Amino acid sequence: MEAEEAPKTLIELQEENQRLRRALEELSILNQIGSVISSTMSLTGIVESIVEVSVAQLNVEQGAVMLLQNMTEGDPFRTMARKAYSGSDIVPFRFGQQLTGWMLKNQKPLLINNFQEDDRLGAIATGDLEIRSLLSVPLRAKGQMVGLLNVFNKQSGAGFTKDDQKLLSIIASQSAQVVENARLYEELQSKTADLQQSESKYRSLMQEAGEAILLADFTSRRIMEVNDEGVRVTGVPRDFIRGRALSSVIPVDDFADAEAFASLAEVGRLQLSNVKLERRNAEPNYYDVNASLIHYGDHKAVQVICHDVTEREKLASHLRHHAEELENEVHQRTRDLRDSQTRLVQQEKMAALGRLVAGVAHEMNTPIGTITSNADTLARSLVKLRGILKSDSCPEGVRNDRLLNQVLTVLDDISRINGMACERIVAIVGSLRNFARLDEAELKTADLHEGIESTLTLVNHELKNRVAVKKEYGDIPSIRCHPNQINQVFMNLLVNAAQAVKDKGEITIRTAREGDIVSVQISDNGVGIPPDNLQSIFDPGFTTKGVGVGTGLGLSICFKIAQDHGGRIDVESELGKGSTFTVRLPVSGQPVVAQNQS
Amino acid sequence: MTAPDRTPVLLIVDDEEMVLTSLRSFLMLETEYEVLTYSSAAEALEAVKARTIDLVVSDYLMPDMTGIDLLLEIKKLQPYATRILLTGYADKENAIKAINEVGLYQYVEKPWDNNDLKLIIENGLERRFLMEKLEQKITEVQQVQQNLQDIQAQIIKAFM
Repeated sequence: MEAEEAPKTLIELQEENQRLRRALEELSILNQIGSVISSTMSLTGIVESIVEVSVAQLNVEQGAVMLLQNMTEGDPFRTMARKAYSGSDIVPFRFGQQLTGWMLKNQKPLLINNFQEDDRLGAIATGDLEIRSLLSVPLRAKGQMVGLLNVFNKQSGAGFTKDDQKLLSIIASQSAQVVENARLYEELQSKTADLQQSESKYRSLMQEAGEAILLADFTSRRIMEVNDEGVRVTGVPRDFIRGRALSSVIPVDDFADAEAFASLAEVGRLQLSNVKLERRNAEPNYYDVNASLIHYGDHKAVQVICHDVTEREKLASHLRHHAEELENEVHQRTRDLRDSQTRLVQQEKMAALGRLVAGVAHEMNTPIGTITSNADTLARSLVKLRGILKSDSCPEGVRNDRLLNQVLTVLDDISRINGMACERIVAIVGSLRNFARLDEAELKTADLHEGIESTLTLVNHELKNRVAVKKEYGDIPSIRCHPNQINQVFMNLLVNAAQAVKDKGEITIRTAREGDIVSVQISDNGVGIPPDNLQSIFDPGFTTKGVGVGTGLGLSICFKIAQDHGGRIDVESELGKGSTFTVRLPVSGQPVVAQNQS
Repeated sequence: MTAPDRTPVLLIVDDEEMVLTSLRSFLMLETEYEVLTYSSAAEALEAVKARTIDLVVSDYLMPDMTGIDLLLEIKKLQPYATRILLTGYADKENAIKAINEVGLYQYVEKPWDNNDLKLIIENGLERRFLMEKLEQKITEVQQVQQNLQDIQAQIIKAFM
């Protein structure tokens, strides 16, 4: 049993020894690869080292590392880096596609010892390389095949063994991640170079563009780049503009507000019209500002293009101005038209009123004539009757009859009162006629005091015992005017004054001569006019009297009449103290119309 | 005032009865004239044809005829009668226009003043009687002249 056990142990020891030796070899290879790899970061260097180590360890004529650039499964043959090592030279490796194709498909090591007779890779023209035997293992990084490690033609002439395959697999497994890292690193470097190139391309485009372009970091909103035109437009020197907040150079809310700015990430683009940019010592210009999110190097950046629209704006503003003027013109014309229409209506109303007044006055002539005549006749009759009673022919009894004398006294009183009443009626009718004066529409010389007096008679019902009228008449000449129109002015002003006095009060009428001008001042101590209304009181349609009370036309007509006479009306008023209207008329009474004609 | 040989005759025409009554009352009280009043122009004209009128006061606006037309008719019939128009205020202009064609002595506005009216009537009558006297004198002169011519003719006849 022991004798049987001993050889077993020996064999076991030999095998153990063998295993240890191989582990040592593997460790030594790993060490070798590790030291080689750590000494270089260049992919070529790493690949060459791996090939060198493999050729040396496996004692072969040639070695090669093939790297797949693109790991897409469906398109394995499209790109690959081919590196074959022969002695000290790198030579083209022509049949890589077939080999890679097989390896990608089978995903396992490939061992061929009689290459000429093996048809697994199909018919291959190997070119300069005369292949007798071949060993290929996959390079895997993170579970994916990234390339192949190949060795060709064992030096001894013998074929590759399973041990060779295992050794190459170990080398491959140790190299793969390093190769992949190096490859990624190179790719990164190459992409960085591309980026740098595109950045410089961008910069030159930006510089040559006619528009002002600013480039700001998306996150910090600070300016990174600006072209010459941008420097000119913003008026900020290039050295000072980099690093400045975008909103400090282009002052718009969308740049100042972080949230609004961030929304660029979603909308990608922002268009602002007529942004005003101020420059020191220069007229402000207007720009259409176009902001868009771009990738600049590894930054997210915002490209801001400012398109100068100052000229367009000027034109637009000019047009706007023009349109405004036109609109104003239309408004003015409309107002004028409305005013003249209002005046026409008012004039027509006054004319109708005049006709009515004249008609009434005419109709009253006969009855009034009769009554006044009769009152007079009655008075005369009484005088005669008393004469008869006093005469000698009258019997004493009759002369002293108590009832007869009472009747005579009553008749005397009635007769006297009738006379007074008639006088007043005649005066009122006279005033009505004087006011209407339809037969005196032409320009004539008139005494203003007379006009005021007759007007006062007509507005007496407004005054009653409530409002006292104080007259301070100056020495004024008669003036050339349309008396009916001027009386209309007095009438309006007096009625307004009377209405302004709420309870008891006073109206003062002052007349004076001021050179070639006659002024008539009508003051009241009534409620006064609020300052806000003072501007509008001569506007047609403006009334504070309430619907149905005033037409809002009175003062506008007055104003127009005064104007037509070459004069004017001014107003002064204090709330609670009263108002003063001053009518000023030229003595010559040259109405504006007459002046125009001459 | 020239004292008339007879009572002066006044004709007053107005379509308003009240005016006629007022004027008649006043004139009756204050004067000795004979006052004829008519409210119709046509009736007034009949009266003018029938007798001598010394002075006419006519309203202007009447339904059948204007005062102007009436006075014109009267002027044809009795040229020496003084013609006065009593007008409303608004008719004044028309009246003034007609002064010349009618040979109006005076126009009086309604409402009238009794004293003024009385004075105008008195003056109008004086004028009327002066005219009448003047006519009488002219007639007398013409008569005398005629007589003289007759005598002259007889003398010439006698001597030849």
